[in-house]
Amino acid sequence: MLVIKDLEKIYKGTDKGISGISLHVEKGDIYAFIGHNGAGKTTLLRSVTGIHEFDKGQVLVNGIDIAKDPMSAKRCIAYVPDNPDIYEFLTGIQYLNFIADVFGVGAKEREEKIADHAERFEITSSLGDLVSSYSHGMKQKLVLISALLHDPKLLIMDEPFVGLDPKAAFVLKELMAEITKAGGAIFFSTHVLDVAEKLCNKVAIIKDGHLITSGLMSEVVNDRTSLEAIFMETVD
Amino acid sequence: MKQLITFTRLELINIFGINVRRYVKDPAAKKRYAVLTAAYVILALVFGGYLCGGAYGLAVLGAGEYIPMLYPLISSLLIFVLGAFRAKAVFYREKDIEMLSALPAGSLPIAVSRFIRTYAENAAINALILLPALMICGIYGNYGAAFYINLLIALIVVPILPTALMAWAGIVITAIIARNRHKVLTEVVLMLVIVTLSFMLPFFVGSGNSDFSSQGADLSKLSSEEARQVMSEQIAGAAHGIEASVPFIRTWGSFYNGSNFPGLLIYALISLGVSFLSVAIIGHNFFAISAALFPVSVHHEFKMGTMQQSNLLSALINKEAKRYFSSGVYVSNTIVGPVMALIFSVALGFFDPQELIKGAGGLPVDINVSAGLPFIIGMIFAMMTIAASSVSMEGKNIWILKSLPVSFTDMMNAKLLFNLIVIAPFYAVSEIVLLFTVHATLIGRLWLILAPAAMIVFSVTFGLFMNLKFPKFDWENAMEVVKQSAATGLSMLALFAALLPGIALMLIPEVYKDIVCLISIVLISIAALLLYKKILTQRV
Repeated sequence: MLVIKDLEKIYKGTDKGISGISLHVEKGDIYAFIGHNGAGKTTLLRSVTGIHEFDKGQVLVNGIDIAKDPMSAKRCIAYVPDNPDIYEFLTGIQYLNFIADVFGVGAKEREEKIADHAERFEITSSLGDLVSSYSHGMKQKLVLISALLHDPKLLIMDEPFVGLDPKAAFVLKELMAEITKAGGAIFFSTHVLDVAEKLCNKVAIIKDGHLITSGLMSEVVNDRTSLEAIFMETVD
Repeated sequence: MKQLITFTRLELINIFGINVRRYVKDPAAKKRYAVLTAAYVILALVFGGYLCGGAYGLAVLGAGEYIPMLYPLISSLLIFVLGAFRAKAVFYREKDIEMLSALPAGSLPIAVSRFIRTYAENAAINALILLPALMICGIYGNYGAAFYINLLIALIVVPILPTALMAWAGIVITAIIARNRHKVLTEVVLMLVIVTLSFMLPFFVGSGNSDFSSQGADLSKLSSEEARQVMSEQIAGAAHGIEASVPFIRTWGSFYNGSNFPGLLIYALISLGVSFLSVAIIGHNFFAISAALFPVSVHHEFKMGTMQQSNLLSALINKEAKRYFSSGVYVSNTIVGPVMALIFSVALGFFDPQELIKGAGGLPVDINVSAGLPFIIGMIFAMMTIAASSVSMEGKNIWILKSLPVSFTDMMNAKLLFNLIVIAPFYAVSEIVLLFTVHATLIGRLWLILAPAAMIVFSVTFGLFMNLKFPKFDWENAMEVVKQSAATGLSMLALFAALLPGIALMLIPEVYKDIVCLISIVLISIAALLLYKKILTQRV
């Protein structure tokens, strides 16, 4: 589903970025990506989704090279950023309609999906309000709903649980399970290690722009330790 | 006192973006700031040169005594008019009020620090206007040391009162806008009213002139000494008109020409008194005023209804429209051009620019204003295009378009088309009006249609190209992008260059006008097409 080969992205004028990252996210994977602050998690996710251009390497989304055919690759992806900076001049429903128009989601189909997801996340009544009046958590929910409208094959999320109330976090976990059961894949960064340990079947740990370890959760975290302990050991 | 120093340091640390320029590491951002600084310097030199030239002209014509009257007035008005709308973004910044309210800090130090910052910025504008003009006045007027001492005091004193009044105007304007359902429309109307009144002010204050016996004299037929005499009389007449409308101005002028030092001191004390009182009242109620100026949106219970699918380009243009009309700063600064062009087209039915110049005494060279009209109208239309800020206006939302399956071509086409869609109705109505207000041959009518159209398309494509070259996404206030960016500054400079054919047309013999017009329109159109192709090769 997602193949990252020797990815490198260094910000101009600095020595910060990521280097030599190789990962493989397969269908059905819920893949956690963890690292300390400034390790390069967001840089990697933004490079994979086409927001940043990368200096070296290759990113294949469903077999499509994102550098050569970004449009086709992006149609398979949905990206949820860590900071839900979305169009504050639109209402919630206008934003969802805009995203649906970009992905060519039909009117009937979007009506059903928006109604369903908005109900699950309990923001239906607020969809008529301007996004500028939304709390951080409400914006996060709106972005999540917008990400699901076109049935993405690969859902890429940057710290998706931040700002969500417990019920919304539960709904998100349910949705993640549904997506992977239907043949999709999820690749997300998080600081909430116990959620990652329970939810994910694979994990990668990044430190200072380099991949330290990656693989099956059951192999990285064996019975005698925890993901937190592994993480602390790795980043120290 | 400690808090005042802390907050003042915070306000001044990034005045004119100095701190950001100092610490930014990204080479693209450094380059952008360098270009922006260069653009500001050029614009400041052009503006300063224009004012300086005016002062020099007054001095040479023996009317240098009016400089200490007029230039502080120009500076004060400019500071007040520009500042009244800036006050909302600068003085009563919405974004950090919440954070500041939670701090163990009094509202008075915060308000005073913002007043100091605003005063510092206004003092810089004042220095740009006053310093060269009063230096020229001093040199030609053979004034003594007292004049130059007063000049230094003027640099400090002149901005004080307008800054205080600007803070009050900011409350009034922001309150009117905040309490109106149609916020953007209200802001645009207020801006247009204030700008139009500012333009019309010289006509009102000059109307008291009754000693204008040399009106209508053709300067080209006079000797240089006679022409000088005539222009000197005309300026004296205009100055009498200003005095009749603004009676204290001569006294005020005496403060700055060194002849009334006690008067200057008293005026300075009054200015400071008004400012202290204003800051004390506003400062004491700062948080309450800020909270009242930015009311929370009302919740409307939403009910799901039927939805419609739009194609991608329509969706993108619709998004551009919603962004545009959600920002009063964006609309008011970019709609001025098309509105002024429409007003100008109507005004041409009431006055002939050629007669106006003749009535003012003519110019040293023969010019045919009507020949340059197509390009003058085009330039007015194309001032401050929407496209010159449209990429930067994506701001922190830029990740949305970059992560979506939206091609760069579609993105740029939407921005270009939206800008043209906004201008189109004004252009169409203006062209219909020109049918009645300007008498022209068939060929002349064709140039009136084609030249503005070519200049509009050129300025829109140039503006977008410049914005792609110098984007700014890390802004907190739309004003940073719409008014203070390298792209908008450079776009304005390019527009002056595009006006050159119009100037040439006013000077060249009649027989060459049509061919020059045709060549100019073709060249401008080709430039626009090349820019469009170049735009499609860029990336954000």
